[in-house]
Amino acid sequence: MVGFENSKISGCDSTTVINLDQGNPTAFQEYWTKMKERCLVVIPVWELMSYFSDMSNVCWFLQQDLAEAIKALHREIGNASTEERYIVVGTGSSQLCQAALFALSSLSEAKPLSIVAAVPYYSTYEEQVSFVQSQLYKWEGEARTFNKPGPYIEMVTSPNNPDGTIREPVVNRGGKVIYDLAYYWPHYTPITRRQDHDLMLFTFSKIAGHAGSRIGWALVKDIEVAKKMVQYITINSIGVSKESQIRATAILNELTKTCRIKSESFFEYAYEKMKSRWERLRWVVDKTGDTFTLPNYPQAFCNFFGKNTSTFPAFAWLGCKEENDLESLLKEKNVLTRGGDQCGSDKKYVRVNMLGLDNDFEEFLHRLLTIRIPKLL
Amino acid sequence: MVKLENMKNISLSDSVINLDHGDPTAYEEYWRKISDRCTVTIRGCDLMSYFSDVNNMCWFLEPELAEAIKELHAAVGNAATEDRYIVVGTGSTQLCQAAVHALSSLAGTQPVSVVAAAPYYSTYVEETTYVRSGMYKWEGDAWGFDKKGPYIELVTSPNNPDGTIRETVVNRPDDDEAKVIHDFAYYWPHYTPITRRQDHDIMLFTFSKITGHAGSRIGWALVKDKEVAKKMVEYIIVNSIGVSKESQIRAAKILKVLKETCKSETENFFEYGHVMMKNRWEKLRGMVKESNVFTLPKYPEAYCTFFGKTLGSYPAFAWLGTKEETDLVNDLRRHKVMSRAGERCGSDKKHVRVSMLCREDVFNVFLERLANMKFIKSTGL
Repeated sequence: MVGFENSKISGCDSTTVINLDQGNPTAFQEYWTKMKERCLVVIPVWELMSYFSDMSNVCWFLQQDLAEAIKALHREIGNASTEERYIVVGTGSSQLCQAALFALSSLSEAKPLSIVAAVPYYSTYEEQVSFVQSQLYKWEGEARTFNKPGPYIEMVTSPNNPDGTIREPVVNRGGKVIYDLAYYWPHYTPITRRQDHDLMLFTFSKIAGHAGSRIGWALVKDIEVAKKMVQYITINSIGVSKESQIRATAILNELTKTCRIKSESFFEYAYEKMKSRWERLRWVVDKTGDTFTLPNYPQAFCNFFGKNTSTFPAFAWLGCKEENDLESLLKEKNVLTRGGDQCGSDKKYVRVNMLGLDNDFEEFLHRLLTIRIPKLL
Repeated sequence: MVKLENMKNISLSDSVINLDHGDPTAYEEYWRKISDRCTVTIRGCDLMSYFSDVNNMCWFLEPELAEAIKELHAAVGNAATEDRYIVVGTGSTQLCQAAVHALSSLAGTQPVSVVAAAPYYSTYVEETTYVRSGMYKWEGDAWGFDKKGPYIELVTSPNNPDGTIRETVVNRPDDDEAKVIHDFAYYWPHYTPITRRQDHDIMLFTFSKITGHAGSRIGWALVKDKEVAKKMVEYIIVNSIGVSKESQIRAAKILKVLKETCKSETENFFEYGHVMMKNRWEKLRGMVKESNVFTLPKYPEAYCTFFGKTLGSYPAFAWLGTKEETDLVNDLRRHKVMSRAGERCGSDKKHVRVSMLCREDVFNVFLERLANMKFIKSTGL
């Protein structure tokens, strides 16, 4: 239902704080609760005790079953190549991103490497790059105006965080590129091709909502890069939780198994959910005249669904023409969002989590409407 | 159903045995015996959120785990948890780096010197140098440290690699900028007598070395200062947006059972571990005494408040040395035994660190190969 009038008003009053700043994917809890006893993971006390998963693997802390499950899912969805690549598992793609920065910089003769991303970018990249004040690399901000000589790494997130757009590298000077494909799944965007870059990051958190597991993986072509990433994770945390790996294996296998069964497919369910939310959000934004803006996304043929689909990103890049500080305006309404300035853009924009609970989302729409209605009168 | 891990049967006569790492597989036998307890069952919809407890500064710490940690420390009496913040980490490895980062960011000037008294945990060197942070700098052996300015001393007690009980070595009592991180990975009754309830400002513990669940990647820090705790939490957020919840739930369950059984006669894990370690050390000492070629540290007995009697120390690693000048790590390697070179621990070629936590069959092979080495040396071949 697109119309807002028929939606139930949430149980919270206008003083309850709605936190849409982080991308906590609790929306998908509903699906897994319905699945009940499927993907039940039982771990006896004597299992998974060793540091080591597979000593014959470059990534010695990667559980073999997880490696197989990752390959199977990518094969079924068709969103990334896994052949002739090394899989490196990490404590979230956060840890892997930092492992990749470490790996590429360590292998470069000249240091520090410049790290860039095209605005608006994932605000966390800047933190990850700057936090430990490493002499290996340095945050240089906006990729479009980057002209410093020397080696660089461009972070390309596609679909982009925060604005959901499909991205390509912008610098194009023969430097290194880390592709963050966290949202390159059919419920967010059409799968137009099988990505086959040298370094691709994925996160378990954003596929089906299991953010608490802290699992991500990198598909890496170059063995030296893979080895260095493994070295980083070894020193950083001596590997990755085996319990999480076992759990991710069960869930990923379930996703693969059911993805073509319409009534059970997580991707079908999630696609409908994202579509419905975006339609409702766009309806509300239209209703407020041209005060708020949202990006438009082109339709494209999705190889997975076998039809034209649109993009319904995990974050809404909400803009406001009249307001110079949208984050503060929304905060007055007790809605927390991430300011566009944190993403290298300006305060006229905010990033809004589209993966929160139903009640929170409805309440957000409600409050958005209340901001503008007086002006419409 | 989760598959059983592969149990490789070592062809004992020939293959290389790796005692370089401290993989604690020795304890598997105990956990197999009490198999029904601590089985963890996780449904598809469990533990999905990033957030464990938004009211806690360490918002990714599962409350169940926080409780289990406090209860275990209370039962064992090895550390104070009151008036402290608990920060959970992906192993105490991640926490050590979080602590070094936290203390450095709060220091007056940077880089902050980081030191440890030799022989030290070789990994400290890697942890403090790999990202080439401008915030801190590894300055090596604490024994000779005399550089001015802020510093952090890493004190591991019992020590890794040599099992000795340690205190700080750099003592600048009037210096505000003097910080200490205490690593108590082995301060548990199966390794050493619990002589007092430790109550330092920053204390690190690891799940791996208590029960042997190294694969879970769980450690915790008991931190007195709120600002330090905040900074450590921030480090872990940037590094990995928290810590595996599956691991936390599992650790909570296992630590709870540990606490429940630690006073019982038959199932007491610490009793089991103590007997196992004592047994292994006695065998090793017997071998070393006979050889007249090798050396091992001696440890004083002390009254253990947990066991209620006077006991010796039986560390997780053997700091094996030779009387003669030698390159022990290579000597052992020739006999197909991998160990950690003393030089990596800030010591010399005469010493190596050998894991005492391997499976029983592997340990026996190690003793055999050691015996062969001794034989070769004594006949002058």
